[in-house]
Amino acid sequence: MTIANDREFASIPGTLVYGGALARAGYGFNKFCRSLIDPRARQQFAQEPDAYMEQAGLTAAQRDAVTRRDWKAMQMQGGNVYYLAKLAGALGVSLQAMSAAMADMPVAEYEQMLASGGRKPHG
Amino acid sequence: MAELIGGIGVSHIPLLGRAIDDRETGSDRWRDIFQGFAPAQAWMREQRPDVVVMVYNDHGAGISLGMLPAFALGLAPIFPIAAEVRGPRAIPPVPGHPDLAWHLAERLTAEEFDIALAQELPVDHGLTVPMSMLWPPAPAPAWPVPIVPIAVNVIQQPTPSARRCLALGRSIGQAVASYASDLRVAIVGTGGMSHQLQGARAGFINEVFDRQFLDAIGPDPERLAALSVHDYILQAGSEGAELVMWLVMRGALPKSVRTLHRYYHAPISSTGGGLVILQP
Repeated sequence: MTIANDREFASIPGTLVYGGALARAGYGFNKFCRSLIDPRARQQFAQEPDAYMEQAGLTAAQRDAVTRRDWKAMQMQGGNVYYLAKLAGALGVSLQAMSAAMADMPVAEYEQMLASGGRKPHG
Repeated sequence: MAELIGGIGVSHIPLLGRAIDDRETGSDRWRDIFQGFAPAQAWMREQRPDVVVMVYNDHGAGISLGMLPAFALGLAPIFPIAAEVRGPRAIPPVPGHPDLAWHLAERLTAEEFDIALAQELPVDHGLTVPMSMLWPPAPAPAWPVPIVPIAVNVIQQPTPSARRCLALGRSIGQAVASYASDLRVAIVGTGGMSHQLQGARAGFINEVFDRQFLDAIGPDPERLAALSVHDYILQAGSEGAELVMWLVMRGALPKSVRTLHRYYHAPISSTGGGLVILQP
């Protein structure tokens, strides 16, 4: 199951606006992401990721998305981008690589797009 | 009575904080960009505010989703540096100004802004990067000016509207003007400019919108306040919607202001970066 945008923001292209449905589904997941700011928690997670995620109360779909490093799925399972950035940091994934994955682009191509002024409106 | 001497709108791009921490601001990559922001440092040096109200957003570091106020006011004498992905930045903690902060708490609540009151508020890059940009690091063990932080929720919908942010600013301006002391107070609004880190539209930057925003914030803030949260996300990107915090800064200043300086550069890492300096 994936969780849709709030109706109010449904017309904004390529954008999952975090609120309502996503926030309800993602609260525990985002709490898990935030816990990884603590270096000891990060070490525990690195050593036994499944046990750590289980203990944190992640759903099977959320655990699966993390295991597969599927950033798009993590977002659709309620990951807030500011919190996913903490998970990316814990996994040694750059912010650009995370965003590129969400945009379905190779990292190099995404970085090239940013360097040339970013994704243009209506383009 | 206290005097509001001016306002600054500025981005809080983490990479700029890192460039400052790593002392790379003079490198080929960063020299021109930091020169673009330098007038804000000069303004602070010349104007020497006694205290700065800083309107910023936390990124899930000092405030969690477990209790997320729309607006929160920092009352503490000292604000620790929040741990983020790379640990806490190696900078001194941020001094507060409890006396002005409590005055704001009382006046804002009386004026029907029931703001959340924070005695414990670790501050993240949303507040500390603009501080480093306004008061570049010195060997001194402390920051040169106390800060009253005001945190705005922009990370989970529903978020306060641009119009509400402008109105909060007006109430802050009135509250400062009724503070019985001869303090010189400046106000900073920080966030944005256009960017989006998520979704299929990740990497979105809207230079046209950013430049219009910089042009309008001094003379015509009503036009920016009329835009909905939906409009901000559509035009400035899901994370660029942080721009509403500039409207709190603008609202605190009188109706008529002079725009002393505008600067824009895109891209800076993933975002449009900007600066505006306004003075009554």
